[in-house]
Amino acid sequence: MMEKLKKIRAGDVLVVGTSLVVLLIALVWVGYQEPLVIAPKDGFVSKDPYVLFSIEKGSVLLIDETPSFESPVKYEIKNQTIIHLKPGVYYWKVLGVKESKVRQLRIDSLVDLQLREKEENYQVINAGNDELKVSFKESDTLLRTQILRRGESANVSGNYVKGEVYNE
Amino acid sequence: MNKKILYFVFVMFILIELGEFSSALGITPGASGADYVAGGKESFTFTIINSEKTAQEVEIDLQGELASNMAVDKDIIEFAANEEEKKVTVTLIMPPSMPPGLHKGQLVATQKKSVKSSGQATIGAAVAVAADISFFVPYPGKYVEGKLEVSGNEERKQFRIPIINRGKETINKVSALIVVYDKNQNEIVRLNTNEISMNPGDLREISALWNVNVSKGKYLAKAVLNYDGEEVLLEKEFEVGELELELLDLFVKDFTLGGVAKFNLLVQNKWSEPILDTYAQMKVFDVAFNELADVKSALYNIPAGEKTTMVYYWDTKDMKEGTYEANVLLHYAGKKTQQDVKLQIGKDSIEVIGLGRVIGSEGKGLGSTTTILVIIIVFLVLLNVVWFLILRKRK
Repeated sequence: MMEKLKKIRAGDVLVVGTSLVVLLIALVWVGYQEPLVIAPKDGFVSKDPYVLFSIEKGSVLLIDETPSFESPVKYEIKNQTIIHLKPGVYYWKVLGVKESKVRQLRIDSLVDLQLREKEENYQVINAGNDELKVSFKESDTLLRTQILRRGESANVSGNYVKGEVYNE
Repeated sequence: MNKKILYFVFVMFILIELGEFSSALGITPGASGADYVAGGKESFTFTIINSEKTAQEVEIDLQGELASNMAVDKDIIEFAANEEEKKVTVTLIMPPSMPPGLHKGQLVATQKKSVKSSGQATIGAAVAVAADISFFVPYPGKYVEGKLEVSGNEERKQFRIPIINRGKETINKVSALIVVYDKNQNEIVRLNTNEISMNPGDLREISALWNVNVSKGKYLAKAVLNYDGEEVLLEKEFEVGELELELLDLFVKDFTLGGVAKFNLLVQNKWSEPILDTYAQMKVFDVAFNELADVKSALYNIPAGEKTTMVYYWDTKDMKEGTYEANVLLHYAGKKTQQDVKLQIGKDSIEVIGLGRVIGSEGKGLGSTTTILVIIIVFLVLLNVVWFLILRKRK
């Protein structure tokens, strides 16, 4: 009888002990699986719209304009990916076995106008990173305004060209 | 004397005719804002960029509604040749009281006179760039601003409403009822969004999904945004089966620097009918945004729903290894879509970067720690139950 009881207790110890060991291993394994985020660092600020995301142990990148990730854009990512982002504030995280922490980055808008001579005319080029509203004036009189996307150009009229971020 | 004047006019004429005139001016960030604090003081730093690195004078000016409330630390900036950027700080004193809403001023940087490296003063239009400085005075009580946005494809549409709490009070419940109408104003479907709460100044989103079961065409979505009993109507027209060419991939194979690069542009016709006479265009720029190439593909007819590889060629003679900015444009059915990329040119490869592959725009995520742990714990509990209730009883 005592022998039987000892065997049962040994069995109890084995089952409970094995369960605890498995649970411990699982916890350690899950902890190790947290995506390792190399770049960009949290709070990254740039005027370059091309952002390098460098990660390990993750496969999906989520980017959203709100920290609650209510409608994120998902990107497939393999260690390194460069993504083009419009100026603004973004929140991002990486999904793998586990989720990474939420990080923030900001792309500052760059208003950059370049004036070039082309075939006896002047052209203005949007060399910034955002859509611009460009005003053409002659001695304080507004001649016209034009919306220029990044890399787009327009013929200059008047003697004053002003560019500012275009807000719809 | 007359000869001298004639000579001067002649030299100026030649310089103007032959000179590759170029000037540039930039400012970053293009917009800055602050929370309104009555009588508060806020400083903003902007960077004025002389991307052509020419010697030039830039005049700094404050304009707009807030001009009288702002001060700038410099009126004139002098760039020496090879100087690329300089900082300007604007201090804003917020008035003790302002009507609710958006209030804006501008920092304007204007070229006064630029001098080319040869010492020749340039002529032509003055270039100015402006940065917005703004703050928002909250409305008394409860007040929100929202915008209805529609995304997705022919099978599934997502209605998103980004909302900002512009009022002084917390909003306990914000949600919306979205009604979709066809072109004859017949109601198609009613959708309820999720419900959230918002603190003053919060930016959040509510959304609803629609499994599309209607024919292709134009539709109108009307959203009644309800926040603690107050209502706002938002509207957005959208298409099911949008006339759209989607840029899927861009790659170059078998390339040697100096030779002709063959660009393969994979596009998909998302429309229900063929898209005719479409073509691709690529513009390549150097660091100073000088246009190095402007190449176009032949005309393509792309069958409905199908993927096609459009091909165009670029002669890389005189090009050097490095990274270049490029705009890839698709021209079709009177529309134009643009994708900005970078071309990383090596001795025997061109890598296109910046085309991150989007795999979705909805949903919250994949697995989580909790899910994995719950599975493990459930498994261990079951194992123990089996042992204590079944196997132990047998013994």
